[in-house]
Amino acid sequence: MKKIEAIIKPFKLPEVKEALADFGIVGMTVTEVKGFGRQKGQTDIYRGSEYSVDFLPKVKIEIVLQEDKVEDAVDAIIEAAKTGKIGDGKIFVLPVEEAVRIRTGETADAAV
Amino acid sequence: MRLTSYACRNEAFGMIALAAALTSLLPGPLACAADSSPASTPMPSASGLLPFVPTALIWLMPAGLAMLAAGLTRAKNASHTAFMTFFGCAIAIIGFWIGGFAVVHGGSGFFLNRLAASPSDMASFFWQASTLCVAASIPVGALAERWSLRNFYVSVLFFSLITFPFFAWWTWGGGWLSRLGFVDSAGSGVVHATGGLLALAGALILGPRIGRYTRDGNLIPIPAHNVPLSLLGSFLLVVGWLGFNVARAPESAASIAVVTILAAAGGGIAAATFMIMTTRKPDPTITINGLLAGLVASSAGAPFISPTAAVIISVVAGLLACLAVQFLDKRRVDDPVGAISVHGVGGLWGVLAVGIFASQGSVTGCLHGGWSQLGAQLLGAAVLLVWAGGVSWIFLKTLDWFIPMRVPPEVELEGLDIPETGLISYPDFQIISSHTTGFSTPMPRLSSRREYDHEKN
Repeated sequence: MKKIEAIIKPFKLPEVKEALADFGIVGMTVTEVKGFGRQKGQTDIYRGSEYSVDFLPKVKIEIVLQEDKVEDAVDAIIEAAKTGKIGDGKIFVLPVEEAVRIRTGETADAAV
Repeated sequence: MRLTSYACRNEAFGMIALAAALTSLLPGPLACAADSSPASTPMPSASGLLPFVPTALIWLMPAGLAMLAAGLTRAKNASHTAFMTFFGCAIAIIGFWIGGFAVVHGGSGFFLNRLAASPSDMASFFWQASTLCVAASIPVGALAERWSLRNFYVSVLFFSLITFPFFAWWTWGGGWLSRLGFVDSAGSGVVHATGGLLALAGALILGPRIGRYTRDGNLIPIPAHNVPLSLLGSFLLVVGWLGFNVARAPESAASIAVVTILAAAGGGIAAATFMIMTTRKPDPTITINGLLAGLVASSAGAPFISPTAAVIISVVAGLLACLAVQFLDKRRVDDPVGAISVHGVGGLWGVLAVGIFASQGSVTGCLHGGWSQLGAQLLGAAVLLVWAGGVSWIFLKTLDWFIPMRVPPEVELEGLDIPETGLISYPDFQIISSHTTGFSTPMPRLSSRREYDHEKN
């Protein structure tokens, strides 16, 4: 089992969700997050004074799935989330030791 | 049984109100009122609903100021800010009843016990107390997010007993300024500059909010938490202002209303244009300031200026407000809503503008040959600076020794809502402060640790 953590632009969430659903994903967790990467903050003006917002809003998607599906899922996310401009986000893939479905007690791949 | 008698009484009241409305619409009293110029009558005409309706409209102004200030400050202080305006009106009315009214009327009428039956006294009390509530609401915005309630109660009481009534006596009550020819019809000076200059004095004593400036003096914007609420507040203010400007001279209601809405539009457009030219975007909060500055400047001369003069005055007022906001920011005078720029600067400009542009009725400005009028207006503005600015500063500085004006730093950082009022404005939401949003000055970006002024102490 692997976990995919994708940090994407918030307005890209519906497209990514649809792409993953088409791909056959049955569940995902979504969190509103803030942060910065290469894009850094963004400068604006309030009441005539310049300021920068250092942490920009992003959305973090977490999905856990069987190892053989990871590569295609990552490709699906990239295709849906890409705008080609700086700040599109990042995808991380992590190993998962165990998964348990609370209702039935199933474990491992059956629980995902 | 009780219900029917109540209904009967209501019906009787309705008849009386209707009769009063009709009487006030008859040409007789109207002609009378028009004869006496507003400059020489100390109070609005007293009979029927004619003075009542515009005066009642004034009550939208404290409401507007409360929403404006609450919207332009942070969510963690929203209840505190709105409550100060709301409760300040109650204190101001009681203060005015105790002694303020007597001051305006040359020393008699404490607790309204003089001539309690005289309708004209009641009409002038109603009108002046209403405008006083507007004036008392002004400093709240400028001193928001750090002014302690206990100090606020006493300050408003002082304002309603001393600051406002004395200047109102000199200007509206037949005092020395009015005898020297000083004119301030609805109160650019009496109402707005007194409140705005008290705000300036308070802001100088309080100092900027924690986190407003970095240690090396860079300004960090503290963004408004609800701009639509502020825009609603400024709409309410425009409606209230129609009553505010008309109440003093209801006989020329239509022309004053035209002057008033032109002034609002002119001030708003001037400020928005200024912001578009300097920053490419019409900052809504500055546009509100410009619109209100235009209205403030229109009040002193509303019955005496032409529509064209109203537009010119308000455009200048809108630009002055923009410049004043930036000037005060540079001088480290922290005014979260721009009240000093709008009401203080705009009010002083409105007072002077009468001496320049007035052209109707008994008042003539210097553009129409009335140089002495400009002299009287300059004197009035100087008295305002000394009285409303200087005396307020001395009072607030003294009071600060007994009841600290500023809340403790930990209260200010937590937000004043819970420690001061016991309520939180938005319990169902997690309030994210600008610190976690990462607001900072553009340079240097992403510094590992921001240094604040208060950390020096």
